[in-house]
Amino acid sequence: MTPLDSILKKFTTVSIEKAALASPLAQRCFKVFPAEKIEVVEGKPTTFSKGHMSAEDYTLSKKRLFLTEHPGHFFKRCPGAKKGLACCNYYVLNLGQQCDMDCSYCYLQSFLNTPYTVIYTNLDKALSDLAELYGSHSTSRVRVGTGEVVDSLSLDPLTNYSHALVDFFRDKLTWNLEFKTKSSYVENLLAIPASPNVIVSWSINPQYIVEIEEHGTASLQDRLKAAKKCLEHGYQIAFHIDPVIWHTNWKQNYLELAEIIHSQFRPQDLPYISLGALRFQSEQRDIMRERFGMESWVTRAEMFKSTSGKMRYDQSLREEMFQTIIQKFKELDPKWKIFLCMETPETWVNATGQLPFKQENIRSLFKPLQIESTIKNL
Amino acid sequence: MRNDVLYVWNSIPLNSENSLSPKRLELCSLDIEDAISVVYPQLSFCGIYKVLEKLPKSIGVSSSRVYENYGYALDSKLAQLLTTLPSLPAEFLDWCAEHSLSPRDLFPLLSLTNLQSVEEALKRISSLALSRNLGAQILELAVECRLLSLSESSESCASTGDEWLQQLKAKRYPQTAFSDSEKQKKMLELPWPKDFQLRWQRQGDRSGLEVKFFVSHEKELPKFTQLLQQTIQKIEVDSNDTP
Repeated sequence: MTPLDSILKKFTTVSIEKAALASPLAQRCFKVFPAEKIEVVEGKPTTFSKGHMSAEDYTLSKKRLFLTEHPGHFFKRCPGAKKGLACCNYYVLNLGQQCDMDCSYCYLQSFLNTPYTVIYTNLDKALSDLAELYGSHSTSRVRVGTGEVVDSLSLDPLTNYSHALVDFFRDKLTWNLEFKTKSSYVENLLAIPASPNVIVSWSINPQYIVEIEEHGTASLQDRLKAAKKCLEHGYQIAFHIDPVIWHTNWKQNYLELAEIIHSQFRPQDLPYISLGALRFQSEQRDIMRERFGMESWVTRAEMFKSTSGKMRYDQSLREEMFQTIIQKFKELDPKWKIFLCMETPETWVNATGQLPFKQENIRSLFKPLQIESTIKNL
Repeated sequence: MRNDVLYVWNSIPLNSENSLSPKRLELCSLDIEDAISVVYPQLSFCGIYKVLEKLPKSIGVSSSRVYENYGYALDSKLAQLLTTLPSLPAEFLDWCAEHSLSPRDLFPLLSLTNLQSVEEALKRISSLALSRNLGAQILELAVECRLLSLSESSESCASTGDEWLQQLKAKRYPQTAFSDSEKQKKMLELPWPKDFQLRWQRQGDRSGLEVKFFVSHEKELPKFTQLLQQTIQKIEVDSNDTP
């Protein structure tokens, strides 16, 4: 089965908003989906309801596709940019909502209230927003990611948005574009010339966690193979070991993961590896329990409310897990660049010995930028 | 609502708890949904459910409109929660209504396939007359312990809500409880000055020792800083002596 076939099989209905009919994506859907799956709607689909989704509706939302134009801002600051957390200047470009994979810990479970997988069809508007912003901040080193509310690449066999995005960033070398994914679909990216400021990154975890918690995602080995292909093609690649999940064999499994990465990649192949421990909003516990029971290492985790309001492991356990992984990488090669994602300054100091702003090899990522007001005025 | 008035809609008493009242007020000029809002200006989620349950089914009241009047849009999650309420013990529902539990407080119940498995715990929450906050915490932990098949033998001995909560936490978070107790032991073994009051505390995702001393005059401060300095020195000496 081709990657496109598996997408076509996944979605049971495709609703296309009238205003989006002329878009290239809508036209492609008419070509590739069976006619009986497609409906044209005015406004939102009839079954569209707002508010909390039941666990069942959330699961169904992964099977219903809705193509529409995005009326608001495409470009936002990363949710990590909050008081009390050390922020790495990440901006997100939201080209849709919902993910076709199903990780037990996924934050979308407490974030989304639309019973559809939404893909925005007005990519041209997103790019013009970006162009405007670039015009006034072309000298700032901005990192833009597309994988916050959707996976950056898993639906690319259908949307092919990656081509337009890479082409857009090709001449904007002070800015970086990051595709963040848990899929292994990189064929579209390999079909065009790479751009050195485009980073293709993978969230990775030991294969044991992939199997237990990351349902419908590519295996660890397939993700690493895809990364290798992208690297050889000329893209930058990065890995996010995120979320680090405590489980009985966590130490052995994460040490092995570090060894696997080290055996297949060199520190100079990756600008960074980020580490983040399991975290979620407290209200997410209910839907996770309903959808995954208590067999999951995520639902049965011992989590406590942190000062940022999110549920986290005990701070000393987080520090131990980070220290273990960082130390292993540094033992393998001191040149590995590792930073913590969405962590408190205290955890940074206890796990790495220093605040990120004081660490030579990652300092530039954490330098504050001044583009907030421009985003608000878009 | 006036406590001394029996409100009636098309001859149906809306607040039957006042049925003996000599004063009657007819609300038939209103829709039944709005009449309920007049009689009960404030109702919690379970409170609405209880009021609707008492009304004859033949009235044909739109429950979604009633819930909307109180600010609850019956999305799919709330609709699902509503289907569980009839299976809950009546005394627990009364406690929920009385303490204005929010739907979110009750969402943990949705993960159970068999609500009877927590029936005893729900009855105890109401019989111990717990506060909303304490009851909601206990409810979630009791559900999780049930889902994890952890036995309830020890918590049934708890005589207060706080004690019960601590027992449930120890059961639900065994590793953290163990690590906290080890850290506590280690910290308390340090050569603290006797004038210091020490209390182990968990504050969200961090645990540690709260160290207190009492000062009645700023001149006393150096004494405490010296004591603290001596403690630090002793700790340093001890750790250097350790092979």
